[in-house]
Amino acid sequence: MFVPLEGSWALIFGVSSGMGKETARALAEAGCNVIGVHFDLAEGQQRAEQYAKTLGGLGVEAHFFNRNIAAPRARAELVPVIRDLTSGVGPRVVLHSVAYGTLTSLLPAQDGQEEEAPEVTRQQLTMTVDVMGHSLVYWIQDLVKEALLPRGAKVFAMTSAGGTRVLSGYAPVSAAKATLESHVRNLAVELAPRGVAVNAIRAGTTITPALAKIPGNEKLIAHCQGINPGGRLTRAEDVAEAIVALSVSDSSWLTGNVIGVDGGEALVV
Amino acid sequence: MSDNPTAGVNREDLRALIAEELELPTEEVTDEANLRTDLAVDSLTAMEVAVQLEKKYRIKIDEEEIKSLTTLATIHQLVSAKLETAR
Repeated sequence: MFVPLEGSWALIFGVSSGMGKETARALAEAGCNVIGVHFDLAEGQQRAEQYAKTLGGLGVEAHFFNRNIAAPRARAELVPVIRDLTSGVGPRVVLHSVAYGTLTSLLPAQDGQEEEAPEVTRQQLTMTVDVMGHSLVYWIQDLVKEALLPRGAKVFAMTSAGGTRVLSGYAPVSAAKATLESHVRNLAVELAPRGVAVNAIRAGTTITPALAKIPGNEKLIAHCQGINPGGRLTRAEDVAEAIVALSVSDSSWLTGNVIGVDGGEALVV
Repeated sequence: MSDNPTAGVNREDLRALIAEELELPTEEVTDEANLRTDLAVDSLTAMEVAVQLEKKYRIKIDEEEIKSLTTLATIHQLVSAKLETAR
């Protein structure tokens, strides 16, 4: 059964940029209130606050918090806020769209290679997988503990083709995405009795601030533009629309998947 | 108000702020301890330090400048310089 999103709440990690930002708008247009978490320096924070106001202009409540979602104290601080804002119900939609990690290779670049990449350190690998992968688990644990993940809730985590394929300079993030997809499957099974669906969204190559930081992104963009059967790159709006469409059903049967939102990009070589 | 350009930045306040973000005892944050190599600060924690500095001193830090936040001494210098130009 389809249940309108009007008046419900979304919790979005990574709300100030890319897919998180666009999905916040699409959900707000559907009448869904937004609790957004992002982590930005002063300039980005100002832009985010402005964006929250824009969402408010759509007739919903939008509350943004500038916090490192991987820090335990951010959860300790925000979970009670989530409880209060949602009147103890909890969010109907949770989106994990977090891009903060080290972009480098596992081994030092060999001489003569055009892109310089130092080998990854233990610290970088641990941090990247923690922020972009494990943090989903810790937030879900806390929401479940506080009974803030109601029946019918939908959890989405943004992954990428790089989770299963090799992209130069992407190795730590690749590990994080593979971890994230694994967490999605396990959480889907563990949350099934509670009627909560958990899926990963594998967006095609999309021009976002996060993509701009990947070494050699121009080549990737040109390649994907050439092969995408839809004849263009993925847009953040494509992802936002898919998430809204999947969120209006109260069924929890579509769960544990990695769902491609890429116009068929990953199907062609 | 003092005319001293670094009057707004008390080194001990700064040390306390950094120690809190790093969850370390203040005595470990010596003037010359390198955040990355001596105190195992990763880029995310450095970002946390930067966000707290911006908040406390009402300054703006560039993403590129985060790399230059290497020791208490350099952070003190950076914050002081920013407050000075903001006058």
